[in-house]
Amino acid sequence: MSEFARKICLLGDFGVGKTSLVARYVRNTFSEKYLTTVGVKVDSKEVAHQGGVSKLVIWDIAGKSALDHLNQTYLRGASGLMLVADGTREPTLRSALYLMMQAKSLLQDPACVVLVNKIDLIDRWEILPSTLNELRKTVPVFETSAFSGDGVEAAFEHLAAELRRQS
Amino acid sequence: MTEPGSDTRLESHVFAVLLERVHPLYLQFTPEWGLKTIHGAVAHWRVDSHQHQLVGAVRDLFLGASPEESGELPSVELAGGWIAHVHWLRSSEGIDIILLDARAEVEQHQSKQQESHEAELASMERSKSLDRLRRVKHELERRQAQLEEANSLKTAFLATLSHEFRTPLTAIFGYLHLLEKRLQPDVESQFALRAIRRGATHLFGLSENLLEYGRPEAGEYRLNVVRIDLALLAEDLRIMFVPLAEEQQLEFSVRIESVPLDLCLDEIRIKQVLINLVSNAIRYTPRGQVSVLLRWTGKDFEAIVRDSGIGIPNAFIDSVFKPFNQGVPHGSRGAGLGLSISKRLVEQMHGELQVKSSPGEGSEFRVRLPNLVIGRTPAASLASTGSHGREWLDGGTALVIDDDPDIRELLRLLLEDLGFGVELCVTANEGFERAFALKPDLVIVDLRLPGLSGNVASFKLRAHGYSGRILALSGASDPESRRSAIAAGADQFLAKPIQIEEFVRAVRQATSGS
Repeated sequence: MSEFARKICLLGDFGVGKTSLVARYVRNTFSEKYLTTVGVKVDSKEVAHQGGVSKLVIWDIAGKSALDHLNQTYLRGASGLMLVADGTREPTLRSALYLMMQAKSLLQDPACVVLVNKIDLIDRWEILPSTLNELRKTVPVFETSAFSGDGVEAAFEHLAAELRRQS
Repeated sequence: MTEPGSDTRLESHVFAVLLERVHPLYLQFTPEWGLKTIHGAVAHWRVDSHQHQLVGAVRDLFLGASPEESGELPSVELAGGWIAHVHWLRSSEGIDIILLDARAEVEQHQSKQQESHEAELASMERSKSLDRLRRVKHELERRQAQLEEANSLKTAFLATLSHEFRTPLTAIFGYLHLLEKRLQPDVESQFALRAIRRGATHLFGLSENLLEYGRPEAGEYRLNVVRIDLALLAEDLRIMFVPLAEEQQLEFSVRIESVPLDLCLDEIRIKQVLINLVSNAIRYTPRGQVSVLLRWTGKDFEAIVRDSGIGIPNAFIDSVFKPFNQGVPHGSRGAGLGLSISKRLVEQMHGELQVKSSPGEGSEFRVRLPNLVIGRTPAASLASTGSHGREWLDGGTALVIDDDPDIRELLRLLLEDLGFGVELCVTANEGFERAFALKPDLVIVDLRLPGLSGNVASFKLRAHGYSGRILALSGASDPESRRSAIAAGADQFLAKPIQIEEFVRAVRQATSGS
């Protein structure tokens, strides 16, 4: 039984890999086939750490470049946000940052991390390292690959640790 | 006119149809989320076998915020795979939750959304591909112009390259000779020395042949005719091939018969021809002997290479001089250029190359060359290029990320030689972590690594503010590899095989620019 439980939401443009990141983190699986999300998928994972067991309830919200009324409903009660972009599509980073701005205005001081996904396709990346270096000064940034698993656990663990720290 | 009661019947019918579609499930909780009852379409929601999981998943939905008086969460996929529209009503007695099956509706919506998203993604990819094509077209035009220029530089470049190959190989053979003469090596060292000789001999023949093959077919060919010292040539052949022959327990001999003192030939070419012929003979002779006879017939110079090897079947005898061993059995054992290059070289020296062979008994290659007129002295042919000009750089740290242990070790030695403290890593992630902690002055990263590519390490380092120099190494030398390495954050790009001087220059440039 977990002593500590928090709701986190994944936000980002469609096709950036939010569902795949959750699948990798929760079930350690990956599917090559792109399957769009309708509405929201809610999953959870319990993680043991030095201070006990933490539970993350993860809301994987259908991809949008801006929050509509429905997505705002889904966000209620979230303590943490995971903003996801696709390194091979530069505009998705702008969407992720815009979504972060919108979501922060609806929630009370949520913990945030930015995930720039698809690092396994580095040769096709449009996002520049210098952009992420600048961004990192204001928000934690993780380069991830749901395909290989690189960076995924670290990003979720970072957000979980931040939530524990805030509690 | 409708009959009395028909509206009620219709409403009941509609209600029944809707219930049938949404399979409502009612869950009643206490204000503290203790479960009171579940009823409704319990079989449809697999309550009997999955009640605990379903109730847990429903509770999770309200984590972080107490529900308002009433509300709805549409299209929710719960852990466990249930897809529902979730409605709730809150009162002082607790919370009532209604789950309505939304699978069919969500799947229908999903199919439309999937189509639209895929179309949008495909359109983005198309526009990227068009951009790439435009870039490729531009690049092709630029390269065509460069090729014309490069073609005119090729001859000069090959001459330089040939020189560059010969100088270090000369050193290798020389020192090998010294080691074999001076040391009394144990069995393992003997094996190692033989392996080095075998590799170096192969490399020598290969590089000479490839360079020759790259030259224009006709014209522009200048013979470098010198007065030739056949005793020296014979000694070179012995030094090069006796250890290889001994390894196969073959008898190997080089004999000189009645040669005039003023015999003039193109020394480099005849040596190349003989190396090709002898190395072929040894390769295809499992037992017996290989002999070389150098002689003057009174009219021509002849070099005869005989072996007691496997021979060449009659059907293939006409194909042996074709490049890349087209149609010749056993062709896969060499690069397949030796005999075709040899024939070309002999013809350039106005001579002829003939072959006789009996399968199972052996082969004989006969080179016949006229005495040529002296054109130049042999002085410059194997002149040294001097040292590599390595100088110690002033300290500094370097991190090498490469999965090939030989290359890693070679880079370590070279960098230490240049005055660096060196650390070694194998994967992109390990390299990134180490470089991030160490902050070295220089990172050398191979692009092809197990797992994530070396470009990931460069990218992540730059994305974390690393400002040292990054030198990318790659087995590929195409512009796209170079572009992506630089885009990922490398300062310089070097294609393998690493030329020592180029590497040293690149390291020096990298460190002087930092």
